[in-house]
Amino acid sequence: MLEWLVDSIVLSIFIGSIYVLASLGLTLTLAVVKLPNFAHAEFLTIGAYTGAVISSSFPENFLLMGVGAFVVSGLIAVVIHFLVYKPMMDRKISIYTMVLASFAVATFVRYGVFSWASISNLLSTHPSVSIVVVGSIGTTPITNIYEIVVPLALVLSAVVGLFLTVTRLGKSMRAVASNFELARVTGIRLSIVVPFMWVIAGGLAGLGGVFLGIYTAVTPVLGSSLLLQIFAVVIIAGLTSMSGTVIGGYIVGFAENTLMAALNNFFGVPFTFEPLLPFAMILVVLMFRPTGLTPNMMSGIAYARRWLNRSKTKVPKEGE
Amino acid sequence: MAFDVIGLLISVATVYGIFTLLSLSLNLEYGYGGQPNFGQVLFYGIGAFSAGLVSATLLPLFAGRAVGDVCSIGALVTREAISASNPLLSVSTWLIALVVAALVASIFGFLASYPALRVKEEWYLSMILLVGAEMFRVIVRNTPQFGCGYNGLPGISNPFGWISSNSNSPLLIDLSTGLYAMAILGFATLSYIGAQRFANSPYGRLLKSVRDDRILSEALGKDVKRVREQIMVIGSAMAGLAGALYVFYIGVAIAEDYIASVTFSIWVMIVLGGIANNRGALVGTIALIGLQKGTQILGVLLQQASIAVDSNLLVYLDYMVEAAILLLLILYRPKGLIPEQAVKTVAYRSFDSGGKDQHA
Repeated sequence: MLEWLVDSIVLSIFIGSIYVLASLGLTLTLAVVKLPNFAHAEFLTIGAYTGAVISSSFPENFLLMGVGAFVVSGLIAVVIHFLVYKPMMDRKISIYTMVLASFAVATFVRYGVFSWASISNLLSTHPSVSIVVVGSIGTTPITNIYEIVVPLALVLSAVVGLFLTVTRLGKSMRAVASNFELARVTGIRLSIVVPFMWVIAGGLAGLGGVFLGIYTAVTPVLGSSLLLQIFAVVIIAGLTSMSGTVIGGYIVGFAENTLMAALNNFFGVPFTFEPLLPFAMILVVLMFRPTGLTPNMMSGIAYARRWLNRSKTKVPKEGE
Repeated sequence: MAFDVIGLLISVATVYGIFTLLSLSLNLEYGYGGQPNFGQVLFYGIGAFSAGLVSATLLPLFAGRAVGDVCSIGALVTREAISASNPLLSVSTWLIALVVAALVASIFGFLASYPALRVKEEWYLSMILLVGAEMFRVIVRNTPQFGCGYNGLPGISNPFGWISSNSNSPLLIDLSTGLYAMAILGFATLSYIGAQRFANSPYGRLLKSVRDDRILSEALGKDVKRVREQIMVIGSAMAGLAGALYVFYIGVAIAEDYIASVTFSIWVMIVLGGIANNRGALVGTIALIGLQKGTQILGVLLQQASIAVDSNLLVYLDYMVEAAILLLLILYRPKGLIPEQAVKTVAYRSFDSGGKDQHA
């Protein structure tokens, strides 16, 4: 019957939530320092390994794993910023060279993790947490991981959104994002705002990595295998929109799972072609709608609001 | 010596020739033309697979046998038998395969330039080519109809393999692989001479002007889009040729050989040697090949000295060193080992030599 549909929708929401956690930081990076950071996916790997190492001493402790992964990935992001990106930005190096440098950072981190993991015999490992089935929708089981990740992604995106709109630091981050030079002459301390941005960017991705590692397995290519998917989310969101990223995460999650399952069911497309869907999305969006889908979503929301309020805002007719 | 020095030299020469073609092509595209091609491996892979398929189809066809399923063991045995016994056929098929590979890759270069040159922001072009290369890999790996899917298309023999086919003498084997290495180095030399002439021609200066200021070039009446298309076509053809040469060397066209790390290595080569400098590309290529082969030799030596080191660990360290080299270069020596030099026009040469060799 329609079990595959329920199955794939449940999975889409889970994967979409992980994509949201993984991509929010990249959106922030693109907004604040205008850097397409191809090393972003490595933060997922670092987070996943941190979680796995912590869980070997403290099994089943999700809170400690999450916080540890956030802190370690965030700190590594700051270190990379100070060692690599900041000196390059101070020298006003062209965007292509920055992209190339982020590739180099990604390669360095990935093979650093590879070397460490092969010495410690952890090339493929599972965190010591037990996955428990706590409920079901139809015949589709819902696990404890699922119950943590989906609310966590939504709550954290709301927290990040609030942080950016309410707190002083968040507001200055948005100011830097919209006009770097103006923000600087207004007296915003870039030396605080930018590193803090990296902590959030790396930390959120690390957190996503913990749960991705629990769901699949922790390997040194955990993050880099999802690099282009994460970029697909951000590109769909139009590169700098936080709310767009949340929606974009679920769009890619649904495309990879529900749409793929439908294609498989109706047209017999094998599941191995799954990565082509986000890749095709990147190409189509970049070529035909480089602003992403966020403007469309926003105008859709505005349209819906107008439609809901149509009776209240009726324009009086001529002669009335 | 404990290991085969001649064999090692031959393999270094072969890989060096192939990567020289790749780094020269990326240098033309990025160094001179300003196109940040992060998907060079796409054209390399397209060249490899088209050469493999052409050779697998044409060899039995010319020999008057049935082509059948190119992936089957039977077809593989037939192919190898034909190329071992028929020198003329195997060399001519090889040459046809090279031409076809360069043509197909240049067609794909043209197709890729269409979306890539029309995107809004600069780094979108890198993204599109990167995604294109990954899509190619996913499609080839999972489509058995094209290039035999996951296991790859095997049995693409060295075109000089017939020299050593009837004996096990190591000398004859070295002769056949050495001859092939010479052929590859010949192609690399030709393309270096070509690239050098190209770069010092008026067209090379046009490319540099397009790279440095598109609006200015357009204001001077140059067709900027056309120039960028042309350089993509030329660069892709060279990468496709490199792919074809590689596939005849390694003997199998397999999708997992064409991953983004290859593109990354080519980038390290041209940044190390110096961007917009063909001599720099040669130097950067030999440095990186030296590093890669050096790690392999180190692994063998350590093994012989019975020091237990995981050979994969050396590969990981090799990648880390490459990445570190690239980062340090970008930070401290952005112009590379040999910085970009002025275009050698006739007037410049005459000025440079104090007017002595005006007639040179």
